[in-house]
Amino acid sequence: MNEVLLKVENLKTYFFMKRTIVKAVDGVSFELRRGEVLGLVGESGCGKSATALSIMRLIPHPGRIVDGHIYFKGRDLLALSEKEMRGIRGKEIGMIFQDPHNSLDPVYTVGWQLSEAIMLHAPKKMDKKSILRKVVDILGKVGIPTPEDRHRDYPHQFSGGQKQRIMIGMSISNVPDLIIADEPTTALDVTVQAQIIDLMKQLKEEYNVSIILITHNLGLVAEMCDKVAIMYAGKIVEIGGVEEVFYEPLHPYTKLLLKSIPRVDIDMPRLEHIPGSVEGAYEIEEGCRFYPRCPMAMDKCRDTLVRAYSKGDHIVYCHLYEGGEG
Amino acid sequence: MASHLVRVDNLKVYYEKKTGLLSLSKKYIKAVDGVSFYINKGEVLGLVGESGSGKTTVGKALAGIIHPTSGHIYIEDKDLYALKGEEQRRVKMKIQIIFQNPFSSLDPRMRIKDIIVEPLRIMGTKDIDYDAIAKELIEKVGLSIHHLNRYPHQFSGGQRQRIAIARALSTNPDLIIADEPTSALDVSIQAQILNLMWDLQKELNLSYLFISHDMGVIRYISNRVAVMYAGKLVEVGDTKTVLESPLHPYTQSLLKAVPIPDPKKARRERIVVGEPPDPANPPPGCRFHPRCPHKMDICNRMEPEEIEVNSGHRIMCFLYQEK
Repeated sequence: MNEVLLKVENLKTYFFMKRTIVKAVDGVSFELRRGEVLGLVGESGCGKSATALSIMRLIPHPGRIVDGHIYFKGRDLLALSEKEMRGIRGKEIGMIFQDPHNSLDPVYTVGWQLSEAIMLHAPKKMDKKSILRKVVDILGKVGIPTPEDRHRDYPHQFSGGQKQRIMIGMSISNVPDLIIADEPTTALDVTVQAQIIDLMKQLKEEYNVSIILITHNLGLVAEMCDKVAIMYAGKIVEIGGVEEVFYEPLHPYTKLLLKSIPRVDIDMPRLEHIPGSVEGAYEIEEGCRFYPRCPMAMDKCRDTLVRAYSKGDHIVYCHLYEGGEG
Repeated sequence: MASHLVRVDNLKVYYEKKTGLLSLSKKYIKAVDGVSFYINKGEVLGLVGESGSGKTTVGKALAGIIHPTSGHIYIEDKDLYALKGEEQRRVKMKIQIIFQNPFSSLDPRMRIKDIIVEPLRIMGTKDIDYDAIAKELIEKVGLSIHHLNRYPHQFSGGQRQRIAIARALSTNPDLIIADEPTSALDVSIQAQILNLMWDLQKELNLSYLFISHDMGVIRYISNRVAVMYAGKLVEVGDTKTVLESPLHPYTQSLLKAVPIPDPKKARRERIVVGEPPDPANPPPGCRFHPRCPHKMDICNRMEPEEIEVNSGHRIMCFLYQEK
């Protein structure tokens, strides 16, 4: 098995609002090996993006990482200075955001923006020619036709899918070890989404890069990921290999989630729906945050700290499995 | 033909495109360019397509929000846009719409009880107990009567969409146009709304034009499905037939691109190239030909006509016309 590239330990990221503290990420732990693709799944507001931004140390005010460790290649990112962190962002860890229309600057050519990303992390000063060669090479690699001309074009001259290709090009330009992709295809049409997923898979093979794919789309997880972590209200409720989690889900939330997706490939009986809403879940301190909506809820779910129970690499945080291996 | 609740005949909706301050020639965006279909009473027609395909414009034309450039929309054989005054209003009352974004479709300054019955007030219905109707409708959509005095901001996205559904039901419509009603919602909430719409459809024998880009949602809710691409209807038929044995190359590509939440069914083949065309400047001939894996010589010269392959299964594609 490959080495562990990233190890997140008991990460807590809180947002200090005027009257309340929102515990957006509240004790998240997981591991990612080299070349592995982890899907981070959950509904809006579950803390999946906050987890990603914590790894990049880009949590905006009034948010703060209050506890935990993020070991990346053995170093704790939370102990690094801002300057050291800048050397990691965009070089060792690349990031792709949801909206390709907002991620590129409209007043600069895409070639210029790519060369900026390359120069920023270049070990020594590069001459213009070799930078241009690299820019053209990357654009070609991500599937932009005639890159030797198109690097002179501005973002508005590209379609949404092409812009996302350019963003992916930028994220791999310095051959990172890890790419964090936050809903990279959500703004795109389904045929274009499939092309972008193909491109990411192909680059993953080529560079042996690890990917954290943040998404609400379980179809994409099934298609692309090796492992999946299901998040609910700031906590991971279940994590494991994609096949284990999809075929033998353990947490009641995961089970309901999988049965609530209308599928195109099979006739669905009536969809399961999860009663109620996530409202109020973040205020639950000791107990399970899903218990107000859980069909299997027991008394102790209300106020007893949930521990992790594991079956090999498949880990679930739920009192139902007490008595199994802890 | 008399049995159809709705019949859309060669509908065209063009938007004028402003090309500059002094431009003399007008350019048109052909958002919907010659679309025909029908919806029966008590039937759900799913309308799918990618962004810019014109599916929302079709819905708006049917709801009477956008005046068509040409073509006809018949509601129980009455030509919607040929009717005048009181008569048109009475027909329009039978058609209601639910929008995608429940955060912008409800007036933040109105109480829920007023939002729900507003269509009735606009229609000028008199001598009825508005409060009683609001009470009945709010319970029908799974909320309770003490919600009636609240304002929209006090509700979550899913609850707001329930309120929008209650409002649509107020005029006792035959047809509800649902334009991506669940795409702004999380999946667990989406399931609640889809189940509610399913139940109401059965209970009230409603017809829906259900617009969505999500093929899974379409399969769950629709009896028949119509697929749009760049302003044209390319395939229409029974949901199961179209989704399990699609004939048009676009429908085939679209279905192959949908990620299935089953790791063993993960897609292996490469996917269709390119992106949907700019609606202001669609390609000549069949609009899918630049991306089509089965492209023939004729495809960029002529527009395919609609043909019926099996009963009720119609497609626009030269592949099937030569046979």
